[in-house]
Amino acid sequence: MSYIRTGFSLLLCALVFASGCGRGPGAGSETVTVGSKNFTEQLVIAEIMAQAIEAGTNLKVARKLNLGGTMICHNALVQGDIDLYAEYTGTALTAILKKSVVSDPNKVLAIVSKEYAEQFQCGWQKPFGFNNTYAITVRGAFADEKGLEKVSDLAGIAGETTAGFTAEFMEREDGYPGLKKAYGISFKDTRDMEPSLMYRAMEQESVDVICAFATDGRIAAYKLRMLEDDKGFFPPYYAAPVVRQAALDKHPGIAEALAPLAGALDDETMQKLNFEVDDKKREPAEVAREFLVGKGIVKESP
Amino acid sequence: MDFLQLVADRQGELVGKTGEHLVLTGVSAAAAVLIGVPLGIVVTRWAATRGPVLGFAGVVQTIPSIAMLALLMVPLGLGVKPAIGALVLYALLPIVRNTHAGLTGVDRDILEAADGVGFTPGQRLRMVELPLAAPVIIAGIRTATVITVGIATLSAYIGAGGLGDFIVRGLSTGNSNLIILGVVAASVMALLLDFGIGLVEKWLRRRLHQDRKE
Amino acid sequence: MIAFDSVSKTYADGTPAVRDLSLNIEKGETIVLLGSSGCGKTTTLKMINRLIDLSKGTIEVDGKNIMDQEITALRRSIGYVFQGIGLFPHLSVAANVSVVPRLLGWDKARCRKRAAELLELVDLPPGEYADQYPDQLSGGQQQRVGVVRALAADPDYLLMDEPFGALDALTRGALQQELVKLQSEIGKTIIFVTHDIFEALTLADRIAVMHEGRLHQVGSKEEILKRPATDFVRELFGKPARQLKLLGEN
Repeated sequence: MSYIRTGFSLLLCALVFASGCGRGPGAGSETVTVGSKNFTEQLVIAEIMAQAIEAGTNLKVARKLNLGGTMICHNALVQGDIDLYAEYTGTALTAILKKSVVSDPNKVLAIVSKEYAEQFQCGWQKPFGFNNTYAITVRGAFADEKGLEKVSDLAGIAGETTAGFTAEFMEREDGYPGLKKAYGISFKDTRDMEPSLMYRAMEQESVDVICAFATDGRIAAYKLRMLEDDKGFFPPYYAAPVVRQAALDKHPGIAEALAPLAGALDDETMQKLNFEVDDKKREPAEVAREFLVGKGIVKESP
Repeated sequence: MDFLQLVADRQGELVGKTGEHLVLTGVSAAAAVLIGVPLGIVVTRWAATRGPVLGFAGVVQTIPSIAMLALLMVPLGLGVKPAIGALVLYALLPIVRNTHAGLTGVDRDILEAADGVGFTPGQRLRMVELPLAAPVIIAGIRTATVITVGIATLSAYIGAGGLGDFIVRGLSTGNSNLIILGVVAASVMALLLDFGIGLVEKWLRRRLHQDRKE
Repeated sequence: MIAFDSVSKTYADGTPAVRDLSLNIEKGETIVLLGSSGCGKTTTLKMINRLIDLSKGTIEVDGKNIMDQEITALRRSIGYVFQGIGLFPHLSVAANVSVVPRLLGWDKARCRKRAAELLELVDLPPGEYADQYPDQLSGGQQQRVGVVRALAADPDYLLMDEPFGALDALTRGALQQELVKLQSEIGKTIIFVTHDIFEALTLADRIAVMHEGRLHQVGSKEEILKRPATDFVRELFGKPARQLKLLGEN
């Protein structure tokens, strides 16, 4: 009799214990969703943010990557389909808030932080450190041949030149429409294409000018040259995590987990990480992890 | 109302992109006819080829257009070439199938008469079978053209231009009027082409004295 | 003359359509191949212009083996009319009639003249009918066009495979009479296939009776009626023979 009772109690204990263990680190935790736009840098940064949050909190992180353009991400954030993504200060200023260009990076950050808090109930975290500005880019050999150093230098030859731009760049005020007015440049022909395809198009020489992203590793790899924005047309584009206030309030751990990322990525580093994905064809998640381990934000697993 | 304003503001672009779209559609449809009609003849003459050819064209239809564009970019690069490549492939099935149907639909008695009077097989094809099959073949071309207008909107992603540019730009910037502009323009183009080619079909039937209802 | 020498046709699945047929068709005669369906009469006809190729034996047209001739040249030199008529719907009546002459390279004016002549011959005044299209004609009119189409290039021989079979009895009767009249005017050699005994009796100089792929008897109407060579022939003509006798006695 006593065996049975002992056995029963042991069984009961085991069950309680097991149920406690079964919950594990996810116990009572919720999910936070990280979004991204549709180019490499965004995928890498999203993974960096996601993995930082996973390492620094108990939260589960879902990813909704490759969402398309800026507006799609922004709308997803505002509607709560995602909780955070990485936005660029200049983009937020001109494309989302539709304000005119301001050149001082700190001022831009201040404006967007204030407006986002008021209009969208979202909080801008501290920038990562790199400035992924649009860069009007040509092939190195082409630049030498035509003596191009600055964007203004294009004025003379624009009428015989074909440009390849992203669909977004074609519509934004801080894109081609604004560029045309600021520099008085009108290309012979412009072709809409996916961001990644611009580099192939350059290689194939089907276009001579593209709107590259300054931190794209392929610029160096393909021997392309960025022309200087001598009229200061483009605003600063410092990337930072933008998070829904609701999520920040519910999970204070998010802000803390993202804090070490502030200023942790300069232009060069971001370029290298992008290159690992674009050229070496590695997975964004893997490249992100490597970076975080290197910074001690994520522990190397045993 | 601000949709109309948008259309007014962007007239120049609209005309330009409509032109690009027409060229993409026209060139692809023409190429598909040049390949598809002979294939339809082959398939009618040699029954053994019917399975493989129609099978291939059918399988092509099942491949999502974006995937097809991506596949063709590997050998053909960017831009107009893979776009036309994909469009031609999608246009093949209706044209081959209708050519076959048109040819096999010619009354057996007419074929017997053609043989009996002494037409060579080539003459029979040229002077009797193809003319009589023409309305059905044109109907296939009509279907193919309408399909092509729709799929050509995807070439916006790969630098081939066309009305799809409006749609993709509208999607990237959350500008729904722009999306609507692209969609409406493409639809109108498809409808007009459908109607126009339909008129040709009707005229042909009259001319060939095949418009009597049985 | 068309000479059949031990001609047989066996289909791929083994069906023997024509067995060991030997027959001489004389120039200028109208010979009717008569029998019920499946007796091989149509096959026999179609072997002459190679719409069907024979399996064994030889057929010679005017002394030349048909297998030694280029097939389309052969067909263009022999007229062919059949039950389905087969006018080309997208060509006018005149263009239909002129088809073979055009293939032979006649110029347009000559073709038009010839077409007009022939249309007159079959009571379709060219002024009214030359530019009409087949879908505007009645069945009887269409077949008349079919007949003159076959005659356009002035061939020596005319093959006719139940040409009036699809037409109503009245039209059929009228066309049979027209054919008799035509024959007296143009004097072609006509090989005519039918299962209709009365049609045979109306049109034929000689009748060739076929049954199950074999030729049972060939001869003039009198020979066949008075001296049937086989039971089948006797049975076939039994009734009409008695009727004729009755008519004769009255």
